[in-house]
Amino acid sequence: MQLAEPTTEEELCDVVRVAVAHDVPLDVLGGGTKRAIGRPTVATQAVTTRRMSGIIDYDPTELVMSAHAGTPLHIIQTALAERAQQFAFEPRGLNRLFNDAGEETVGGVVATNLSGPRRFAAGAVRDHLLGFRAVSGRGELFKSGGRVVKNVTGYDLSKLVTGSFGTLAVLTEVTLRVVPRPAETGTLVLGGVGVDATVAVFDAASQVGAFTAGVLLTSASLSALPRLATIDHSAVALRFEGDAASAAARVAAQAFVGRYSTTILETEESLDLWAQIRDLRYLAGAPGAVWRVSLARATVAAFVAGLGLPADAPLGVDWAGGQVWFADTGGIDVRNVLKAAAGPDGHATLIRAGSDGRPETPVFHPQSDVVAALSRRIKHHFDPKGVLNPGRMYADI
Amino acid sequence: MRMPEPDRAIIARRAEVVSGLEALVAPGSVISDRTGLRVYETDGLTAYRQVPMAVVLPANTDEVSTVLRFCHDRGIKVVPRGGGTSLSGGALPLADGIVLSAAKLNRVLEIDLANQCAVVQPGVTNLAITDAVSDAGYYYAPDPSSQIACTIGGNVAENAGGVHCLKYGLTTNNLLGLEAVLITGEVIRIGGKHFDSEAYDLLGIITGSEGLLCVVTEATVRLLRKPQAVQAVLAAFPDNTQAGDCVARIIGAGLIPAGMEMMDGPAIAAAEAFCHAGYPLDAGALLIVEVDGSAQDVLVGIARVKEIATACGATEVRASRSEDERLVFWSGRKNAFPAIGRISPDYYVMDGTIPRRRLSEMLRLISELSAQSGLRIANVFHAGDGNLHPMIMYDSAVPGELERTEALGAEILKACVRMGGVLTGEHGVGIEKRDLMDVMFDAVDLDHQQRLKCAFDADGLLNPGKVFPVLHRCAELGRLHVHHGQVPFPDLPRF
Ligand SMILES: Cc1cc2nc3c(=O)[nH]c(=O)nc-3n(C[C@H](O)[C@H](O)[C@H](O)COP(=O)(O)OP(=O)(O)OC[C@H]3O[C@@H](n4cnc5c(N)ncnc54)[C@H](O)[C@@H]3O)c2cc1C
Repeated sequence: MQLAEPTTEEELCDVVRVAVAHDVPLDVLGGGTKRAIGRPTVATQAVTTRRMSGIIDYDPTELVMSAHAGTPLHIIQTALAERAQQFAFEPRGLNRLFNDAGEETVGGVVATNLSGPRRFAAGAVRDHLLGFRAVSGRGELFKSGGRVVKNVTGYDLSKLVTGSFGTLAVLTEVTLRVVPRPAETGTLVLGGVGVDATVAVFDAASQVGAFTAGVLLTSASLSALPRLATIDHSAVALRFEGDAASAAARVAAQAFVGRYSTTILETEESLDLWAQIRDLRYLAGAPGAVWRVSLARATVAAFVAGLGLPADAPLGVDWAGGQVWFADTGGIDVRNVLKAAAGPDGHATLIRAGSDGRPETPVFHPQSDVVAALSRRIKHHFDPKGVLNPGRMYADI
Repeated sequence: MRMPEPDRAIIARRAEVVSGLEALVAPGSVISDRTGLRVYETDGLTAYRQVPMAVVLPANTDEVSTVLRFCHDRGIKVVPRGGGTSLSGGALPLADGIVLSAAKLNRVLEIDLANQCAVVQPGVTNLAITDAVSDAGYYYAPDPSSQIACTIGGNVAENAGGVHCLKYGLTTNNLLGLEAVLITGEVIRIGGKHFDSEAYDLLGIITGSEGLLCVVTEATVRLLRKPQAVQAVLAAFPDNTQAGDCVARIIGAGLIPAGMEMMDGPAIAAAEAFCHAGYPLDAGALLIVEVDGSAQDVLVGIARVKEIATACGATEVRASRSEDERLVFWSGRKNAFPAIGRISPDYYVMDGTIPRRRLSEMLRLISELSAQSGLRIANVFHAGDGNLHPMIMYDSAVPGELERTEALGAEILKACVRMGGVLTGEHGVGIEKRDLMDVMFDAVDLDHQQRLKCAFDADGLLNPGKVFPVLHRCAELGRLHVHHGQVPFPDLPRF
């Protein structure tokens, strides 16, 4: 497989046009760190945005960051940190999960829409993309959105490209909203909370303070996280942020004294812990297939029970109950378990296939016939020849 | 503003269309008499009026589906309508089309506090959702000033915002699921009570699509717990520049207030006369800054806001001492549009967004343009996110004044784009800004947007004449210009 590395939008247009003219399907890559997610494509050539790199415009008082799609995420995060700002959506880095040393790009962050623990409180990547430029599968450069937070001019194509895994267009430039970094971060760890009690604990905690991350980790997950390895039951971690975050964590702890063991982590330790949770460190060493499930939060206990995982299986309930991550070595029929627990209110994605290579299981959640047909029509209009990551999401998408 | 030429052949078949529709829905659900139709001839953009062929009021999703299939099969255009409060003419009827009203789809279907969401029909008003869950300590965050009258279906179609979207986002950030009907009559369900979609974010693209992609028949919206504490600061400044500076400094200090609104002198005067909110009449500009969260967050936040406002030259800084007083602070702002309506025969609300840092520059330009045109302008802004609402006062009875108003409005919006902003922050393109779309987008951009339309509604029957200046045929847009005779692939330098 050959790799095209255009340095400008014009060159990228040429690459796609040539691919269209010669019917050459392309693998679309940023840094390639999440390339393993998705169905195998039939691509014979690849194109990467990584030579289209650099911050274009960053004005901290506007809370907006524009960068070329191939800009390494860490470069942007460093620039933001210098001005005490950050992305609210906490992009998940999956290098460890995939045992990959590549450098994730901001374009890849947008294309995969993998949002971290703050999602339930502050939105997903899709909620923070204000505008973009991209080359569609027609080999044409187009733009949408803008550089301001409030904008309803035309269709919101930013939503369409976010999470489209490079199947509609190759992003060349993205403009994302940024937020101030909280002055302090404090964490309350409640040892001994089981999955059954998780949502009730989140609800009780929200009565005493607004937390910005709430995660349950099983004991196998905890043992993979140095800071929490000594807790031998499953535990809930709650993150508080703001001027008095540590005090807020302590106040919240009072509500649980006597029921669960309580541990408080201060800012430094907290930042470290939440980066590990964000990047799914608790699943990285686990064998088997890794699943991500988004579901109605009140159904999470029934879902996890339905999985019937062995006691030593790592699992995390993130998004204050709205998302579950786990590793499966036993070939569980995850989608049927989900349907039994949550009905139509959820979907499951096979993020990392098991050791047997890519299984028969669909990677992205199957859609109704009408929605699938609509998605195919959209794909067809943006990429009529199917040259961009063909088949990565579904058979024709 | 020109609408597409009506199809005479369709209009000639009006009687047949009406009886066809009557056979599809419950008795009394089709309006076809002259007086009845007049009710629907305009929306919040009252400068434009057009009576439709008929209005149909389906009572459930099946009826919506059969009506749409009927229209699809016969090539009849359909304009969806909620509360009819659009300020961009989004719900303006077509002479050769029908209006599909959500008036009978007005039930709250489910309140699911365990999952922090509510499932509602599209004709439920924005405020009715909050009313339904308020006792339980929850609310629905997006709060357009029209919230008593506008519907959730219209909010989805326009991606409506409100004074609290600085912190809590627009409709799109507070929506979890939709049921909608395509023009073919096919019903789609997207999302649900969970976050984010399994693949393409159809929820995201339908939101803000201005009734051009599908008819929303059900929405699942997020409910938030009411904050423990909330307080507002009213700060008066001698002029706009100082107030604009204060906005930038509050954001620069790392604060994200729940809302941050600004009014200029003329807007203050009009609102005060209408609402008696206690606004200082000698002020050149007023800021309302609201902070919410824990008691501690609010204490700290309000103190910082007061400190910054004073440092920026505020002549008066007042923090609300009670919930009643906080609501009084807001009453003037929330009623700014009707307040202007009292002092001018007609007014035209603009809705551009600019980068915050250019606020005072923009205000200067607006006052210059106002002076040149001889038309008075009052300004209210969602200052925290740079969203301007200049209100141009005019009299439609004076020949030519509407045209001058529109020309002035267009100048303001073009300036927004020049300053790095956009044509519309929350009111939508509709017919109003349709012909300005090419100020922001080139032909390739617009073609890509219209291809989305083609995927949903290939015949262009849903709300045509809105949003896009030129409608291309989908067959034409689908054509791929293949560049043959280029360098053979493997020789391409960069492979
Ligand atoms: C006094 C006043 C204050 C306002 N303040 C604000 C504000 O603060 N923020 C803000 O964002 N807007 C504001 N607006 C504008 C307006 O209220 C919003 O755009 C609102 O979302 C429109 O809702 P509606 O139900 O009235 O929709 P309508 O006006 O009936 O329709 C608007 C658009 O939505 C489409 N539509 C309606 N229902 C459906 C459906 N079920 N399926 C598909 N398409 C549909 C229509 O075709 C049309 O294109 C204000 C308007 C007024 C008059």
